Formats: sequence, C-alpha cells, structure tokens
Amino acid sequence: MAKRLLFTGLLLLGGLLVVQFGGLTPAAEAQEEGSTVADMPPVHDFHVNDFGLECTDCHNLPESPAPGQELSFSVRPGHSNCDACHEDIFEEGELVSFCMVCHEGEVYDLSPFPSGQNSLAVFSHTQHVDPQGRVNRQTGMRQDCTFCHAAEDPMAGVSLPAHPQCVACHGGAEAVSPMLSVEGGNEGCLGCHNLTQMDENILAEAMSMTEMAEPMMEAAHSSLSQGESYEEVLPFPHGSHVETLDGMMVQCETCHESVLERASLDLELELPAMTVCASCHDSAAKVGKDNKTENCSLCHSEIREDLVPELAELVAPVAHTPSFLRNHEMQAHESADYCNFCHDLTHSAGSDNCADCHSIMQPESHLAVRFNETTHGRLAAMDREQCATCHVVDFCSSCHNLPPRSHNPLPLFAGGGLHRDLAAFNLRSCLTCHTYEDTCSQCHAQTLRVTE
Amino acid sequence: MFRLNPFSSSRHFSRSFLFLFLCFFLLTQISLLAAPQGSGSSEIDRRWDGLFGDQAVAPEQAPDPAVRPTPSSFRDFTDQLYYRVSIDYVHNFISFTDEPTRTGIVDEGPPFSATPEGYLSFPSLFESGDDRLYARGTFGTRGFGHERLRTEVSVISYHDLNGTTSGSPFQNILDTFGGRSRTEALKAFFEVDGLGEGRWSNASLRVGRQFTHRSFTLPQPLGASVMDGVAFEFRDQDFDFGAFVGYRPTFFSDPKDRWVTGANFGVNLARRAYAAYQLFYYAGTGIHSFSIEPRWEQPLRLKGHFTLIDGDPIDLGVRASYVEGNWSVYATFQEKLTTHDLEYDIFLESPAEDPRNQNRRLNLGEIAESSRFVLDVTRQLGPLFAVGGRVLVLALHDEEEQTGFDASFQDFSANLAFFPARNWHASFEYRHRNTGRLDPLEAFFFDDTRHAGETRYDEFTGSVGYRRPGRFHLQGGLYHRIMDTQNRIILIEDSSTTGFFSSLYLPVTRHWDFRLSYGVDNDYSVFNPDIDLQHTLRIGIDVHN
Repeated sequence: MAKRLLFTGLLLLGGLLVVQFGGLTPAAEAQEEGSTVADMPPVHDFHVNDFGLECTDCHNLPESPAPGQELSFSVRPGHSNCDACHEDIFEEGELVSFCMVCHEGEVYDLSPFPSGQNSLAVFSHTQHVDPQGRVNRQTGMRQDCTFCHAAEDPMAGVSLPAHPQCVACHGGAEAVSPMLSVEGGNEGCLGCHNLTQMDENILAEAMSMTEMAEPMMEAAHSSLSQGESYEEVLPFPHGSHVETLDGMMVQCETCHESVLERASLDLELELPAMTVCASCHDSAAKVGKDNKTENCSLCHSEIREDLVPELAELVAPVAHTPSFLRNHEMQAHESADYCNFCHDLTHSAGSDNCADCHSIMQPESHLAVRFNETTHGRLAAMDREQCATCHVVDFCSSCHNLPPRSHNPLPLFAGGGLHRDLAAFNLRSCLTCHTYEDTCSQCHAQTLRVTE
Repeated sequence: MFRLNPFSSSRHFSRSFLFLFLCFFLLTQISLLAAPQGSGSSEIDRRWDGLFGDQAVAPEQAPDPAVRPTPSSFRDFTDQLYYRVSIDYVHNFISFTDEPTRTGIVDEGPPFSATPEGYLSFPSLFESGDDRLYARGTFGTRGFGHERLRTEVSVISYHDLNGTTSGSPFQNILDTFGGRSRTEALKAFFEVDGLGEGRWSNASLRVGRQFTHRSFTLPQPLGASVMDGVAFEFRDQDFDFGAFVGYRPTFFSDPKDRWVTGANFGVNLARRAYAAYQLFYYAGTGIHSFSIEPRWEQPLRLKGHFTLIDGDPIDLGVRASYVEGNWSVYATFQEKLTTHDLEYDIFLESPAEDPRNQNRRLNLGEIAESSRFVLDVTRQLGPLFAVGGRVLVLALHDEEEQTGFDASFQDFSANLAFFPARNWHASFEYRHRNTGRLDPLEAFFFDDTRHAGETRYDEFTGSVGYRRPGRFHLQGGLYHRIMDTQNRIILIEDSSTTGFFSSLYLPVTRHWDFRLSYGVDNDYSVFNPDIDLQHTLRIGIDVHN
C-alpha cells in the first residue's frame, strides 16, 4: 500500500511539473503532432520498470474464475484501472493518443487485444515436447502439440498457449519453475513474460496482414530461388490442415519439420517451402481439384505473372545455370519434389530416380540431324559416361549395326576402295565398330599392320 | 546361377577397404558423441503422462499422410489419374553443296554411274527431306481401387513417316532392323505403398515393368534400363533397404543373359551421417558401391564413395556442393584406381546376340587409371548478372595408356547470364578443351589409334530469350564450334561448324501446351563437304493434367 501511495504521489508531482513547465500534457502534445500508438512510450515497460507497478495493479484477477483458471489474467484493464493515475485525461473527454492504446476510430471502438501473440521471455520447445510423442486416441494428433496449440477456427492460425495450459505444470503444489503465481510481486509474471515483447505485440497488432505474412511467403518461395518473393498471401488456415480429405491426420512436423527441436523462441520458426505444400497439393486425390497448386488464388490474394512458376521455364538465375544443369545429381536425389514442382513430366521421379527424366528429356544437342552423323561420336569420345546417363549399351550397338552413310554403296565402299580415303582421314571412327582381325585382315593381311 | 564374389583377391582392395573402414568408424563415433542426450526427459515424460492419462497412446509407425495415397472411389477417378502425352512432328531438310562426299560419291546421274571427274553417282545418299513423329505417354493412378495402390504405364513410340533411302543422311535407329516405327513400353507396373500397419507401412512392393535402379544412386550410370520383375523397398528414419530381381527386356538387342538383380542398404548414423551399400548384379558381374554422406544443417554437402567391380577397386572419390545465397559451388575429386572399369555400362557384359545384329559391341577401349578434378562455380551478381566458370581436369596416371577414347585433358568454360530487363534473359558460354594426346606417329601398328582423336575443342554459345510467364517463351541463339583432330596420317585444324537455334513455348490452356523449334547449321565441312545447311523444324504438343 505504501508503494502505491508513493507512486500516486510521484505521479501527481510529475504531472504538476509537466503542466507547469510544459504547458501541455504529454498526451495532448502527442495528439497535436499527430502521433500514433507507435509513438507512445512502451506501455508495459513504462509502467513496470519506470513506475514500479505490479502486474495485478492493472490486470485484475477474474472474480469468478473457472477451475484451473484462477491465474488467467484475461480481464483487460479498464478505465477504472487507468483512472487512478490518468484521471485528468479521462476528465478532458477528448480523443487523444493515450486513448488509442486501447481504442480506435472516431467512435472509440475497442481495438483488438493482442492476446494471440507470444509474450514469453524464453521458451524451448525441446524442453516441453513429449519424449514419447503420444497421440490422442480420438484425433490421432500429437497430444503435446495440440495441448498448447489448438486449431479451433479452420480458417485461422493455431492458438498460442495461455495460462490454463501453463498452469498444468507451472502451477499448483508440484509446480516446476518458473512458478505461475501472483504471490511475490511481479516475479511470478516476469518469470515467463517479457515486457518488451508484450509492448511489441501491441504495435504488431497495428501491422497489416501483408506485413505479417511476408516472412511466410519468403520461406514458401525460397525453394524457387527467386530474387523477389510473393507478399500477397492469404492467412494460412491451420484448422483446415489438421487432416486430409479422407480424415487422415496431418502432423505438425509434416510442415514444421524442426519445430520440436527449437530450443528458443528467438530462433525463427521454420516455415514450409512451397514444395512441401506441393507434396499434397499437386494431387487432386489428396486435396481436391480446387485446392491444387495450380489454383494460385488459393493462397495468393494477387497473382503476379512475373512470379508464376511455369513448366520447365522457371529460369531462376542461380538455380538453372549451366553449372546446375551439369551438377544437379545430388539435388535430384535429395528430393524429387523439388524438381517435380515445375517439371511435372517427372511426376513420378520421386521414387523412380533419374531414369524418369533421362528417358524422356532429349538434350537440345540431339535434335539436329548432324548429331547422328558427325557430332555424337566426338562427344562420346570426350565423355562416354555422359551418354550412359540415358542410353544403355544396346542402344549404341544397335544403331551402329546400320552401315553409316559414308559406307554406301556398300559393295563399292568395302571392295571398291572407297573406304581408303576415309580410313586415312579418320581411322578411329572405323575402329569403333571394326577391328583389324574381323574386317581389315580379310583383305589386307599382307599389307597392313607392318611397321612403317 | 549367380556368382557373388565381392571380395575376390586384389592387391588394391585391402588398402582401400581399410581406408573405408576407418572412415566409417570415425564418422560413427563422432556421430554418436554428437547425438543429443536424453537427460531430463523422464520428468517431462512423467508430467505429460499425468496430463494425458489414458487419452493418449504411443504412436504407431504410420506413414506420413502427406505422402500416403488416399482412398479411392470411382467417382474420383479423374482426380486420381495423372497423365502426360507429348507428340512431336519433326521435319528435317538438307541442302547440298554439289561437292562429292568424302568417299567420292555425287548426285549426278543414275546409281553407280561414273562422272567425267571420276566420281561415282549414288543419289540415295542425297535425300533432302525427312518427316518423323515421336510420341511419349505416361498414365498412372494414385489410390484408385485401393488407398495404397499406384499404377503407371509409360510408352515411347517413334515413327518414320516417309522412310529413308539407303545411305540417307536421315538414317537412324529406326532403320537398323528395317522397320519404320518402334514402340517401347518403359513402364507398366502396380505398386503397393505400405504393406501393412506399423513398420510395414514403410515398406512398398512394385511388380511389373519398371526401371531396374529404382532405389539406386550408383556412381556408375545405368541408362534407362528396365526389367520385368519385383522390387521391394523399406524406408524409415533409421535405415532403408531395397532389393529387386527381374528379367531384362531389351529394345535393341537379344543378349544371352537376362536376369538382373540388386540390393541396397542405407543406415542413418544417429542422424548425423548416412552410409549406404549398393549392389547391382548382371551377367556374372557385380557393381558394389559404398557411400557415406554427413547430414548437417549446412549449405555445404559432402559425399564420399567407393566402388568395386567384382572385387576390383574402381573408383574412390568425394563430391562437395555448396549452395548458399548467391553462390553455388560444386567440386569433385575422383580417383580411377584400376583399369578394370566397365568400358561403357554393365550390360556390355552380355552383348547383343540378335542374328541381325552384326555389330555386337563398340570398341571404346578400356579406361585407364586416372585422377579427375572438377570445380564448377556460379555467382549471382545482383539482379542483372550471374557469372560462372568450370574447370575439369583429367590426368592419366600413365600417359602411355591413352587411347582414342581416353586421354588426359583440361576443360575450361566460362558463362554469363544477363537479365537486362523484365522478362528478358540472355546467356553466353565459352568453352575450351585441350586434350594432351601423344604424337600419333609413335603408333606402331596400322590399327593403333591410341593417340588419335581431338586435340582441341572450342565452343561459343549465346542465346537471348523473352518470357511472359504463363503466356509464351521465345528463345533464339547461335553457336560456333572449332575442333582440331589428329591421327597418324592427317592433322585437321580449325574445322568448324556454326548453327542457329530458336524455340517457342506456348501454353494454350491449362492442360495443353504448344512447342515449336527451328534450327539450322552447317556441318563440319571437312568431314562432310557435300552437306551445306541442315534445317530442323519441330512442332510439338503436350497434353497433361
């Protein structure tokens, strides 16, 4: 009580000084300059650290809490809480930026309260997840994930845990540290909460959906190596992703692969790349026709034609350079979905490895007529393994079974001496198919293979 | 009956095996030490246990639904069907110079008539036009009939629409056995993905025509080889196992040996490294491949591999890739340990025996012991440029071992990608290759071509394109290639060819795409002085869902 009286006294003294020497209250001054909530001092940090208030001075305990919710500070501070110190502002009755902390618009609508934001100082998923990864008998979902993160609204994100979830372990007789308790001043609250984080949440409430969604889209399109990224994205509906059309559960780790190993909230949540989405959304059987990836408007509020993925034409500068074309083996083995996303003719490459691509995709060099006649042999001489990427040896011998153009008319070429100049010109080519023993020696046993 | 003898005697083997064993041992120990410890988990376990009671149960090893086929119904057949059909019409046209061919054949009168200049007339060598049709189709279902069932059929078909004359420049593999068309069924299989519940849900079985190396990543290329057989695969977080056996249908030959088999086993070493062994066995020959790959959250990736063929060590190498931000770097070092490598692929072990096939195998010669190093770097410079370069060096351990198809060389290339304006892109690449062949006059016998072949190769390629995503993509470019070759009789310098290429890609609807390409080039005139320009026009459509 003494602290409260001291605070009130200090505040009154401070207010008097401001009025005397400043001429205007800080709130009125802020209004004149057209400032917003962002220009206000950080509410929580200001009241707790600068003025020494206790959390419960503003956040009342619920009068009739439900069992287990005694410590649920969900009651938002009202005029009666602020009135003790800001009585003068309320008496003036003008809409000033002070009011904008809680209200918005000309009709004093109550602003949304940032209750769904993280306000913890530290939190480690690694220390909280169930080592056994137990699943709920009814839903099949991991019980530890859904215990804290419920997806009640199908079209909205999952919720963050609140006191009722935390108190299960951090409250009561066998509570583990940090204790969730109102005893001992602010220690109970600040054992978990970070004032700065809470103040940032108030500011974040004013951010547009585009700003909030940008990091997600950067992650989603990072696999495409685009210099630009989509920002026009709709909120992700977690609730409609907890199960497939046929009722099978989609686990959180399917998309958030490393979330269970996050030791700190400071580490950015790994958001799924768009290829992860495509692992289901490429199949109408899994998600329905209207929800396939080709329906861009499913996720994007605006379709930018310069970023539309296109079959074999994604041409991301780094991703598809000549260097990559020569060295994509490791990436292709790693995840065919990565390639599959755009090269949909390789739709089954995920399990069939390289052959699905290489039995179909004919290199540009092969298209010219000249390739059969002149070029391919020299390329094979440089790197025969490259041919073997697609062609089995039968292919080579079968085609070479046909006498080449130069061998026609064959009787005169073989017996009439037409082959002589050609053999002198490019003997290696002859000996690719023929040997001295099986061909040359038939006629030239006495004249060839002698030292010259 | 198979002869599996991976550990036959070899003077190189014991040393290589020891090296590999040490690598595996060290990596395993490091991985185990680095594995996360389970301290404190019991308290958390107890707390969750108290919270859940009997509401929650330990999870079964169920497959991730994100990759598991869904149940089917006839009503949703179109949703569960996937298909892609591509049809290409190709028209080739050649203009001639009226010069005789390198063998002295001209087109000046009836067949076999002599000209006043002493040349022989044989008009069929000078066919000027040709039309072909290529068709490729893949059809499959996922989850149709049964939630775990997948089927797929893939067919390729080639047709020569107007035939070719004897000795025509347009002769191709269709003419080999006198036909004008051929159709190959590459795949026709059904697959059960998930053979049961629990751990068996991670197992799959595929029956029918399929690629032999479904699960394989052998460093030895295997081409698009198929088999009619059975393949089993099991894969979970800790290890994977696969095996296959089948009868090998061939499209171009009738080899004596038909049965092909193989297996692979990979183990995740405390999730810090992945080690694998693979076997591919055919016609009494087995390829054994060992590999190890650290798993870490780093842009740098490494993979070491060691290959044996029938107990003879063949390759020992390491590959690295670094892809981060604007950089992509690939490097490879590979040591060819002995000369016992396959001259082409493993199917050469049982060559073609079709009676019509007079040429049962090519004489490419053995591959000499060598060291090979590759460094390939690309750097994106802001939004406008990307530059890159590659150095590829192969050094034979003994230069005297070089053959016509195997010699030491240095291959350099530099490329530039340029994005001058929205939707425009351009790329340029220069490549130079120097092959260190010995003096061909050192060859002793007439048929000794060890020192014959290319000694220099230069290539410049440039292209410009305009792309309107979702609407069309137009591209065109030029290339110029210069080559020097040598043999014991003749030395050819600066033989060149120049060509132009262009293409148009036009998606007509969501399920129909149109393609058009045109190219023209002049041949290496020193090899084909009679051929002037060759034109290729290709019109294609793709139908897909």
